Amino acid sequence: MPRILPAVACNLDTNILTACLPLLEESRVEAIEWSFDALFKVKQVPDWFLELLTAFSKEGRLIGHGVFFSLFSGKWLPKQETWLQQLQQTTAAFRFDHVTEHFGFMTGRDFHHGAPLNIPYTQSTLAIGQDRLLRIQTACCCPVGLENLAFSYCLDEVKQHGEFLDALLEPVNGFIILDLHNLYCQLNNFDIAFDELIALYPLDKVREIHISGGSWEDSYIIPGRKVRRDTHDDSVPPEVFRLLEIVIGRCPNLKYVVMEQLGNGLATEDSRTSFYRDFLRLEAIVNESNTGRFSDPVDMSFLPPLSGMTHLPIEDETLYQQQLELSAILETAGSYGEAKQRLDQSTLAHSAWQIENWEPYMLETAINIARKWATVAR
Amino acid sequence: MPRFYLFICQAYNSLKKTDMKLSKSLLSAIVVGIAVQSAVSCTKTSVKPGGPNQQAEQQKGPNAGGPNQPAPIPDWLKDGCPACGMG
Repeated sequence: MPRILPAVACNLDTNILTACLPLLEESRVEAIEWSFDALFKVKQVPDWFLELLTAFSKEGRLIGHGVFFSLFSGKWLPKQETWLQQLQQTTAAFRFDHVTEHFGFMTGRDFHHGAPLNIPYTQSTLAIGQDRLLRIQTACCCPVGLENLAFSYCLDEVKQHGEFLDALLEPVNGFIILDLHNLYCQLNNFDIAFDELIALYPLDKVREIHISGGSWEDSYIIPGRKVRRDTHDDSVPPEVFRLLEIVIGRCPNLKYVVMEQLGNGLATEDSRTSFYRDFLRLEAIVNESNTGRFSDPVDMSFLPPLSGMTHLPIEDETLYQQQLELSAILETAGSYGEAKQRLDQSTLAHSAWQIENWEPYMLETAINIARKWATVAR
Repeated sequence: MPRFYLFICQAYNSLKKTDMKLSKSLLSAIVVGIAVQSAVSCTKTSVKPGGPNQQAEQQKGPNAGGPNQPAPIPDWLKDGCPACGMG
């Protein structure tokens, strides 16, 4: 079993970097996860940040975490082709130990302004996801993985997610980022026990674990119901640390435990102190688990298969139109009632999307997510 | 796992650097780099707790239009942090 490395999600953000600085100075951060595509539009990245990335990359301790590829868009889009080209250029400059992306399709009027939402688990979406993962792997020539999604519309979807991820990753010999706060959201939003949920995930495929904080949102549809949101703007809850303690020894191929927090949640001295303390707690859990673990001189885990891409991108026009329709409804509906009515009259009704089974408070949450990120940077 | 390979792995781990020690010059450059920028972290609009039936609360960043505005923010600060945390 490989030695586990404590890591932070470190991006070009003043507050994140300020919070990470004491940990970097004390040599506690053994790897950094970088969301490389957040800088695709940036004309000039500061030299010192490039030097930071290079320092970790040279030691094989830099991992890439894409955000905007939109893995499950039903149509192959020019922006995805551009994203792959930019990934190829980035990996020429920095060697990633692995590259990951998010599960879902991006809502929003264009690239960079949406949020990932779930898709129906069908043969078509499986084929699209496998196709896209192979393309990512061809571009980066390193192991690729997917992060489990926090948001789900219903309990059935929650229970199928692990199995679907397993099937998706098989052709690329890929791995899972097990985001424990995402699971924590699902435990709370769907009243499912952790033992039951974690049994549905192929833990031998977990190479990376994420921990982070989030927030609670009141539902107006179900008064008294609180929805756990994966907003990454607060410290790590004690419950998530307990999940880490439970699961860390059950992932034989785990290599990284990454702590994430958004910069807007690290603007104060108190929040940065909490960030530091959270990392120390992460480090302690990892160190305890590392007893008896050691790293192979040559890491053979999750290596890409030899075959590359030869066929045209797989598409599903019906799925794509439904995604556009769903995005539009979520972003523009004036109320939950209007969104529900429009959905019931849409092409998603009585389809693989199974909107009839969606929990009302999760549809309400999807509306909030879509509208929040649709207005970003306006 | 064969004993010999196990021995090699253990020897490798005892010799391999396990902590990421950054140079003092790099750490200093990071400190200076953070300090000299008039930075704001990502300023995302936030939806009021009222949910979709209430208007989103706009958080205007320093790039809001109008006279007497501060100097333009570099691209890398405008984009701010990425989007994990979209849920």
